[in-house]
Amino acid sequence: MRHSLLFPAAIVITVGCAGQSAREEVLVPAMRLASHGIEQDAYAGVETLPAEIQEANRTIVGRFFSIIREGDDAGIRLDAIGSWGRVRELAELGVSAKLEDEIVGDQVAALLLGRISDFDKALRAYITRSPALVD
Amino acid sequence: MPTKEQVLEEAGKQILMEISFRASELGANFDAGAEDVVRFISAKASELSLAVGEPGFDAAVIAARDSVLLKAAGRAVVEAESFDETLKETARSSLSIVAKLLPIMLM
Repeated sequence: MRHSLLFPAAIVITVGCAGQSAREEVLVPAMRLASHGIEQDAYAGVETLPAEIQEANRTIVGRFFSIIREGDDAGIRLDAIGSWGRVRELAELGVSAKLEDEIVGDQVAALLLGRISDFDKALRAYITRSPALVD
Repeated sequence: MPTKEQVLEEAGKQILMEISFRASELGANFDAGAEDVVRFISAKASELSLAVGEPGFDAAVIAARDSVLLKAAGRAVVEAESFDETLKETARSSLSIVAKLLPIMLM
């Protein structure tokens, strides 16, 4: 009798674990790997800003990628999410600058921008279930 | 001088090797037959073929690899959540059965 009650209770306890494990064990490492290239793009974006605001933006970029690499759940949900919008703008700005300086070509730039967009989807998937990933 | 096709083929091989390696390293159950992921890889390969010969091509190969890994990881999360949903349904059914049986068992 006691065992029959324990079974559904055990199921309830494990509900939600698979999704969170996939986030922590698969999604975060994939984001960590992709972060290196996006970080380079973001710092390239910082270089295009007026000198007086470069340091503040460099700090935002550094902090963001440090949280991603640590894979700290609270840090990603509470801190990284808030600064991603700015980091994304800087990364896109960096890709435009590389294109303008002919460091990359049109199609290469498109792939770099695609990675930023895919990172955005991954980050959204981390904080919430994202139907956009099933497209 | 390698042809455009040779460069693309080599890049494709590198990406697939990298994906398999990373997926196993991350413990991901990467299903190479997953239709949407395969479509995504194919789209990225096409984009890469257009980038051959452009400055920064190496960076494009890495970006394509990253995009594919992010896509595959996103899919793993969706599948895991789908598993959770199934589990949740099972839990609801089990609990409702227990709730119905409880008064009888306590009699």
